[in-house]
Amino acid sequence: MRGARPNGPVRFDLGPGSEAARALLATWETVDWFSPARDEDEATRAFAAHQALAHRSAPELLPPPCAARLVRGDWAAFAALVGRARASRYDWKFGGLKPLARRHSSKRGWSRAAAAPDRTSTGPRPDDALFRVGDVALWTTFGPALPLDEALPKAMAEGADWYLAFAHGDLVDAIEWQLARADDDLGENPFAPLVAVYAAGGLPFVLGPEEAVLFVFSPAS
Amino acid sequence: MTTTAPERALASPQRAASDTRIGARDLRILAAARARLRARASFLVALEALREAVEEEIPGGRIFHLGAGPVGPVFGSRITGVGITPGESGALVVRVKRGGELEALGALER
Repeated sequence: MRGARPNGPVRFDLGPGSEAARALLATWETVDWFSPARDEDEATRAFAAHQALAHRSAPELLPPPCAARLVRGDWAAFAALVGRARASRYDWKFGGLKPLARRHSSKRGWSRAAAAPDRTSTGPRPDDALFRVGDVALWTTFGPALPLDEALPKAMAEGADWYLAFAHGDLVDAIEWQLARADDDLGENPFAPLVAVYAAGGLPFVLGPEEAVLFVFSPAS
Repeated sequence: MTTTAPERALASPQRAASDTRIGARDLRILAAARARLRARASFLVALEALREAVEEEIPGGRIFHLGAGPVGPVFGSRITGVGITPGESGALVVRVKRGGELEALGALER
């Protein structure tokens, strides 16, 4: 499933690291969401790389890598995993990845507001990726805008949108990491392989410190 | 924009939850933003209060440009679609639905 970026093309000139940030966005835009995997092996490798880099960057926040269980299934199986993730007390994103990203930015002395062009008096431009109003930095939404409600029953569309929203957060974390790093070497960016997982067609769920599932839609779904 | 509750102030968090089905995290953020607004505030002041509330609730939390409201832009959560937009008499709390339609949830200020 593919869709356009809601606000059209964006400019990405936010200082050192912008070229790598553009590459991350380009990878994101290749994702065929909620479709059979393009490459299960690549998704598995990229997820393992993500886990290893994240743990190495902040072992107290992210557990050691555990082998992700590959699950092939249909929309009902995906919805069941979304339900488990939403009910889980283990919060992979807010409890682990987001603090990891914040710590990296702090350590590097990078701030969104300092990097963002000031649009207080003019309002945002349609092609702004990041901008500032007063002291408040604001990211655009990179999309994609998918026709979930046309394609799916309401409960499944809601679950898919929930998953996509958190994956979108991973993309922005990947971009911020690189801008904070201030170069175009993606090798140490733990969020870059996560974007690659999505591009390969993998949909990861981390349900506990020792339970990771890499879901892929089976061809028949 | 849906106009079921356009300019009415959001009720207590519990009441608002039952009225509008705003999630618990959004309710905490909105309540913290409201607490910072002592009087009728400009949209810029409301946005700053929202930023402080988001950062207090979610370390590293972000605010996104979600789209356009009737008077100005909508800024809020990509996860839930809940955000604020300028209204005729102060910042309005709205939800951007999946298709882009806006649902008014009340005024941010008391």
